[in-house]
Amino acid sequence: MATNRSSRTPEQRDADDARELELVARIRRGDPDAWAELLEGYQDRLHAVCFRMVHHRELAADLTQDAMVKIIQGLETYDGRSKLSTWMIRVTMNVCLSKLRSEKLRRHASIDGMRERPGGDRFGEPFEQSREPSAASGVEDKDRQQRLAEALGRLSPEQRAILILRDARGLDYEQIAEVMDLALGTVKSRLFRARAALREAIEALEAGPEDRDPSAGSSAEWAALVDRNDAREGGR
Amino acid sequence: MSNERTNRPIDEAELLGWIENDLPSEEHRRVSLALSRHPELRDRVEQMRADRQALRLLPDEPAPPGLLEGVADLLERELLVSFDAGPADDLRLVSGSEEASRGWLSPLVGERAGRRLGLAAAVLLMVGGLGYLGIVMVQQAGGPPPALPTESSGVTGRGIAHHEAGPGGNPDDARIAEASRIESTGSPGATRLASGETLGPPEPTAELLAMESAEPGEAAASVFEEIDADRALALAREGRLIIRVRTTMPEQTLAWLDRVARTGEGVRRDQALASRLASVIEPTPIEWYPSRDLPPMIYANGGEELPGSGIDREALGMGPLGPPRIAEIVLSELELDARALERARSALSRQPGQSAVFGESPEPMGERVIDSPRGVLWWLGGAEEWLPRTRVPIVVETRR
Repeated sequence: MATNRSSRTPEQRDADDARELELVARIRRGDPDAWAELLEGYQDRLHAVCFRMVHHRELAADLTQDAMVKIIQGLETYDGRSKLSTWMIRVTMNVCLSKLRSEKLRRHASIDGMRERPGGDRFGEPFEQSREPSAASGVEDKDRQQRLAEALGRLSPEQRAILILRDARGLDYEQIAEVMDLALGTVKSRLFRARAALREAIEALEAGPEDRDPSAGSSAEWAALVDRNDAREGGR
Repeated sequence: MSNERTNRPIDEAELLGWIENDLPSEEHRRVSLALSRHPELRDRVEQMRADRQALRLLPDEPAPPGLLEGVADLLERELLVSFDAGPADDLRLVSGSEEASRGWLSPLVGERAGRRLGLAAAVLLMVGGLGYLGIVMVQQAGGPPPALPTESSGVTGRGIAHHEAGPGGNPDDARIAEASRIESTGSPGATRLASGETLGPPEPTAELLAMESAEPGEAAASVFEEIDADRALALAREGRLIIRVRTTMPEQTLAWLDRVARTGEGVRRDQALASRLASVIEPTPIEWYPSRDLPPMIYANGGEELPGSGIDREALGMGPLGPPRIAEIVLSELELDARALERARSALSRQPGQSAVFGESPEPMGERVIDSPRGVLWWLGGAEEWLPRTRVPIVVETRR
């Protein structure tokens, strides 16, 4: 179930929400099948979040499992104020961020890890497997996707997280605010900066390895255009 | 659109809205106009828009096969092996019935358990065959046959011990048969347990006899309080250890047990065992309680039982407390290790309104070692799983 939520119609979303609530009710009534149904239904989505965050298959699987254990242990604390899926993604994202912070698996570490195993867990491999581009555009698309994935891996975990939540998982700003525990204005500001950082990382990759420092943040050009009024962050 | 608005600097949120095509048309035009004055920047923002689209199109990596089985493993490891030293809420218990003894894990791990059982059966057959060959060879050589264990030691059997005792050979058989009979016919104790009533007077137990022959209060405390972790371990090895959980809030305690039972493994309900225990175990005598008016109260952050304060419950509209009764008996699965036992007792004490002490069953009730696939297959797990485990009844008592 790797459906991008943003691609679903409002009716489908309502049905999803109703199904989530029913599942929670069944779990709380002690229905043992409900747990399996819940986790089977969400495993692809949660794993997708983890994989995008760490770009490593085994580690992503481990993190997904850790997240599921925490979900099982913490469902009692789920109060229904947010969607169950949002809450589960929040738990999962926290597991990923915690892991990345604690082990300092920042962008270069993961990229180096990939390069050590060119036939294994490469950034681009999943795309090759799961996508079937036309002959004409295949190589170009593959290169672009691989570059994009590598650039994503060069961002800070928090920047990566917000881009994944928004673009890969299709969460709206309010849901991202819930997951990341941020104010709405801060979400927008950070999302924009994450997009800018991603663009710079892609340009650095296109310019050649190690030619540019992708962690430099927004360039001076942006300062001329963008009014960085931090006072506005909390109000949006 | 006024000049003031047109000339106002564009902020990040507006640029983001432009990239995500999420601005009202007027705002969108204003941002486009501003960007048109900076072609290079406009190109860049459009590239960011393309990046966004590319990110949305990145295909997801599906979860690998066996992911949920791994979750079951994690839960088993985390919850089954021991009660952790963490918060008591971290305890995980299996669902109550035998049929669903693994709860939601069943559909996830059943196949794996079957594979492991098959492997274990093959290994046991091989070991048995080699042993038989050894005996035959020794006999052919004229020597005495090697000594075979005649009684389960609780250490080497690991589930085989129970099958070694033949009918009539072991006094335990009579009790087991009686328990089976009680279970099949439905004992009064079981019925009352199920309905939550107070259990009737049992046969005198060692605890009761000690109580009766001692001075009130003093001896009672000695009977119930002097079981430390080392003594508890010795009792566990004999299958006679119980943990008494005294609660002022039985509904909450039972709800807590139910809640934990839904999400893990470590404690389960066993009606046959509950019936057997109910017939031989007495609730903690009322004299033991610090006060006739107040059951033992424990605070999550303190761990010390408060003495009775002499509060007039009637004046507070609380009504008198009833005699001690057993509200529930569940079966926990713990490491056969003094520290693990103490952790379990401590964890059970950390729940609000609960205190837990080790107790002694007059006869073996818990299983000395686990008779389960995991118990048999301990050597398949990691080194951390090589500790034998035992089952210890948890007796939930209350005066409400």
